[in-house]
Amino acid sequence: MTSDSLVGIPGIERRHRRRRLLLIEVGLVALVALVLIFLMPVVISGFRLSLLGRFLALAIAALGIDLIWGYTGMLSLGHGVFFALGGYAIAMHLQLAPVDAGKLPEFMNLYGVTELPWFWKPFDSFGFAAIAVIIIPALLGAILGYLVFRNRIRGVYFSILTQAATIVFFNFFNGQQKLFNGTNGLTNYKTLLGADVNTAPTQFVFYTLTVLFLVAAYALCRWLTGGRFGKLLIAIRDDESRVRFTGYDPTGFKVLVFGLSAALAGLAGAMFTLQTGIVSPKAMDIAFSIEMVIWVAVGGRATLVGAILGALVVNFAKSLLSEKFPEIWLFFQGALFLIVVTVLPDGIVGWLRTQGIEQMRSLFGLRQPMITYPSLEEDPEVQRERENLGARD
Amino acid sequence: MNGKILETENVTVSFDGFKAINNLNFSMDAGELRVVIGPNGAGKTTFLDVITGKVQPTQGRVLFQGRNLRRLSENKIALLGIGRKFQTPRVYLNLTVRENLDIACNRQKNVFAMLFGRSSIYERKTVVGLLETIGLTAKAELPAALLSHGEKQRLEIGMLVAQSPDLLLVDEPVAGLTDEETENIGELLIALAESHSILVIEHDMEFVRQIARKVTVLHEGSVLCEGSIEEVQNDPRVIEVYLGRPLEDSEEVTLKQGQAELLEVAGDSYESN
Repeated sequence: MTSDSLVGIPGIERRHRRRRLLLIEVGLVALVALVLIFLMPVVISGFRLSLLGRFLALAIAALGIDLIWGYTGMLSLGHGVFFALGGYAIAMHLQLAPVDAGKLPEFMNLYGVTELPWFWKPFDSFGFAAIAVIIIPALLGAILGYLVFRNRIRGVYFSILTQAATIVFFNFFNGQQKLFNGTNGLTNYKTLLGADVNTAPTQFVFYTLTVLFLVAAYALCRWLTGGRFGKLLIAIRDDESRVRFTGYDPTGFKVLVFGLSAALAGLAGAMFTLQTGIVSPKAMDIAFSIEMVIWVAVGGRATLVGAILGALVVNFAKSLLSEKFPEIWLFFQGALFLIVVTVLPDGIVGWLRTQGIEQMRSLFGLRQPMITYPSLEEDPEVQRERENLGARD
Repeated sequence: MNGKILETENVTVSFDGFKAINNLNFSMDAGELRVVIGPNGAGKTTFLDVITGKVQPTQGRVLFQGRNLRRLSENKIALLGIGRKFQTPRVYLNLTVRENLDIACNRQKNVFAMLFGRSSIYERKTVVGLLETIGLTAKAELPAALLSHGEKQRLEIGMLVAQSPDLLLVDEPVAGLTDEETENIGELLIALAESHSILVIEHDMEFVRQIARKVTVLHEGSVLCEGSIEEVQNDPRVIEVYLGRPLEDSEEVTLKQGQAELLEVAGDSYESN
């Protein structure tokens, strides 16, 4: 996987090797998906499985964060908005699905609303809601991104803007009781496409769908970051103005990536909402958006696998710790972030890829392999000399 | 190609009243290798900023192949055929040498082509050829972060050529290099000058002597004089701006070196006369 291992190998063989690695990766992903879908329900309890399903949904959002932060270097602290919008889109359909045509969702009757607001109407159709889950966050992300990136707002200023967006949306959804049931959020779902959403089989379908969406999201991100496009994203992250002087306009690339990551967050929000049975303005809380960033930091930026791993590890730690010591979780989360920043700046996966294996060896008292820098076997100049001298014989 | 590749007409750039470039008139023929020298603060880098669109001129205009560059963004100007190498090597540290060149070499620079396009055989061959030219074939798959300073300089020049610009703007290509590396870069630039117009900004007089045919001296944002290296070195005004200023004014060692070398050269030419 690392480029070092490909040094000194001619082009054709390098391509073959890359293809072989890709096949292995596809096999591994398929295996993990099969284990999640078929083995996990047997091995762990129903309660843990439902948690796993929710966390896998969060992992989809983490992939989006990794795409914009890990690869493109834009630290968004407002992805909770896109997450919540995806959740609200599917929740609005769930509110309308059980009531007869022309009737209102329960909470609206409470607040004395007499007619369905116009923007609720299309959500009566499942197809529209399902598309809206992705399109609404993507469009909002793209428009916001275009305005921001075109004016070359970057770095901290960009992060602050995303936080401001969170506050705006939080206050809007929190304050509109008649439109969105305010702070209570949308909950108490009954049926979806005729199926009772609260039964175990339906919930298992949601779980399976989440796994499949996660695989699809991973494949999409892997495709995006694996080729030329991904290399350019890294180039934009490392030196955006150099990219401009090379003749690229970074705005389009950044808008696309930001929109995509918003879409992933929306999808994650919808799958999460289906499995938790509630979406509320709490998802637009700044703390939640920052949590998303922490998952990626813990797992390892710009590694994709790390984002998924980080989301699962942090959330399982959270649920275990908050079961045992309800008061301690927030301290632990802060400590976790500090540990990652100071000890594992590249996250778990980044650490494993660099010095992790050696540190584990020394932990268990094994001898260190001898290391030269650069390693003789990998030093291209040494290799080249060996080859050329061999050719002369 | 004939005629002027680059012209500036009465260009002034002022930052809050301070004129970094003051009524600058400059022109350069197609196919020329031009060296611009001048003491620190003479406006050399701002001059490049104006050409490449990083800074808009307060007054005047910049013409590239007769075309006004006003209000064009950096990337549009780059696409027109102006490539720029920065003072400190700016390569993408987390990409391999080959990927660095590939990004610069790519002809289709829009989002769609980057998503679905693949590098053409022509582009791949160009990259292989360039790796050979800049002497980094063996390190093609190493991340650029692992290259030495001199290798990064060569890589950036390679990236510049990969863009296949008509005009190369090269800002201090040999800063911080060993003598041998400096000579390599000089040979590389001379070789490139056969097919490109090149504008080099430099402090290192040894290097200027190696490559220069025509030299322009900038001082306080305008052209002080222009001519062959000998003419420039013997021009009393040039000697004055380099030597006439009190030493504590010059903040950087490079300038002192430049002065020392200029003195030395001036001495040499007196002797030979």
